[in-house]
Amino acid sequence: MNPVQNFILNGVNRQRLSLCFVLAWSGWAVHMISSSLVVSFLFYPYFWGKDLEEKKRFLDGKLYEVAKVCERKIPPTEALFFYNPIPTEREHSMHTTPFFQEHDRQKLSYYLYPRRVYWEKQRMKEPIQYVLVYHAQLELPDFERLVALSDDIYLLRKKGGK
Amino acid sequence: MIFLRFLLSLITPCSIGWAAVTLLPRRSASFSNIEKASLSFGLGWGILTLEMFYASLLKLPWSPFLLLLPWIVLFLFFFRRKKEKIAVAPLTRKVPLGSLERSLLLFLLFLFLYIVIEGLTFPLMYYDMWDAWSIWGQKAKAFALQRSVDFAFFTDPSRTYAHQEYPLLLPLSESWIYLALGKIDEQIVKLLFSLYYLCLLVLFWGALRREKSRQTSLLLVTLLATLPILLEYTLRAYAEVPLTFYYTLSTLYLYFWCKEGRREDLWAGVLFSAFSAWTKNEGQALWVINAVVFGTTRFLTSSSPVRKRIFEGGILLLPLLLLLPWWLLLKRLGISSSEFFPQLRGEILLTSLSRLPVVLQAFFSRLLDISRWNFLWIGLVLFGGLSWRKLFSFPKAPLTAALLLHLLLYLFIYLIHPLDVLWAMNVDDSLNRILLHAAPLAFFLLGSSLENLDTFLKAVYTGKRT
Repeated sequence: MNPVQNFILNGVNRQRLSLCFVLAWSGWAVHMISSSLVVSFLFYPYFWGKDLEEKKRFLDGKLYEVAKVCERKIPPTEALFFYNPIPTEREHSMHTTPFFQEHDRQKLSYYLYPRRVYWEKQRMKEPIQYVLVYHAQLELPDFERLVALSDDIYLLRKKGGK
Repeated sequence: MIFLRFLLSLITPCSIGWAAVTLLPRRSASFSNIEKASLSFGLGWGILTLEMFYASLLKLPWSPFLLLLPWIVLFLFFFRRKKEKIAVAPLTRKVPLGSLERSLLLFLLFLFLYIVIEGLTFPLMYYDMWDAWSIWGQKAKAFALQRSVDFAFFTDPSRTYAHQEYPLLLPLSESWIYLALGKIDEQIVKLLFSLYYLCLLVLFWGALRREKSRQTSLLLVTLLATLPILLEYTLRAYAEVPLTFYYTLSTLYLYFWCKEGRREDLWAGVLFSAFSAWTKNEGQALWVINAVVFGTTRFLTSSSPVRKRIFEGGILLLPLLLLLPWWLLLKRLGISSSEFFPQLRGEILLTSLSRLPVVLQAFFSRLLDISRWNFLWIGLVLFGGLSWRKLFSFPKAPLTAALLLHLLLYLFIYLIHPLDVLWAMNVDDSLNRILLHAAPLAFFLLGSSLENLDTFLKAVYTGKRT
């Protein structure tokens, strides 16, 4: 055994090495946890004291409001086409806007269950009675405006539909 | 009130789990009470969700009484026989906690409270918890509202984003909680993940305790509890933490079965393997690895008769039986259980080799990232290298082999991934996320390689420094 191997494999040195490792791990863990706590405390004021409904409203803003309207206006057995061609962003997020395009589609589908939400024509396997236009402009010949939340957010319903 | 309802939702799974733990074949009381409680939690959720799935197939309602009934019958039938064996279990002498242990326990309590408070502050709907609501939460909401597994969900073209082919342990657990709460509450349901985290630590401590002193085990489990990526995914409410829980424990119990030959370890290992396969598709491949590695090891090292060894090997196939109805359902609905099976073709395998440098580079850069992994992988290479003889000889060798095969499997998955490999590794932190499944095992091997820690702590306690 050469002197280096002898030094490393010596029982006392191995014990010291193990202790150094445990101390290094602990130090880094304390640093990481305290950093997480600092970040959490920055965000806590936005959430503390709010109930779940308020938190959803804070996180999803307009989308949540739109989902609530759709829930009232569209029967649970119906399907909806979600038209959101332009990505929109959130005030309190570091995510890029394309993230929110897909995010909003899936989240609307989550909120509106059991209503079926489509955003790609090729996936649609049933006739659509409702179209939600979200931050866009779209007029369809067989559809009429059922409710408008703003100039570029409105729900269309097929003429003569339920 | 809502917390009380959440606690009530735990009664059925924990009772089922407790009955299962009590009925495990055992020759001595191998598990402490706190371990039994954690085992009951893990086994209970696994069994309950399987029962919920079977009940839906048979068009039976999800009533607690009905789901508990088989266990009440089994319990009444077998408990009298078991009782005697439990009563003769040797009692261990209780040693009071030292100052180091008390400090570590206080720190663990602080960590647990931190994840509970943080978990309850940010609901499932948070942006960084995409899979939590989009995949797992969507199914949980659907099944809770239907009060049954909604089979139409799996073929609904408007829900393909929810990965219809993913197994149902987590969605059904969440559904059960929603039904007990009487509403869909994406906030309280996150407590489930804090409990998985807690039970993982308790059972990991129990596993370490079988090889190390109480102080060392507690110190090591505290270090594991601070692993940044484990804390992160407990808070994000992904299926990674339940899968890590089931997979880690299945591997550790099978390792102890090979090492000590106790039948209860085999049963616990096999049931946890089944539940890891019932949590995520990766769990199915990990079960195959464990069955091959530990089944072969036991067959080669055991001195029991060949017939008994073959019987034990047969028990390792139990997950196949338990999950067969799920796989048959997917087949009947025409859903592929994995996007990777079509990739297993000669020409694809050959061309995917060109991805190897990119994938290896990504693996190494992730594993060296101490902001996510602390010094876990660096320490494992360093101390594992120093103790390589120990790690590659019996009894540790099958555990080391299982970990290496696990990492190779994930490397292979990215090599044959049908999508762009860089995108696949980066999307929603996918690579780090799946490496978390192997983290506690890697930590167990690292803990085994940290030599003389026991001696040092003992010396500190007795005041004799070496």
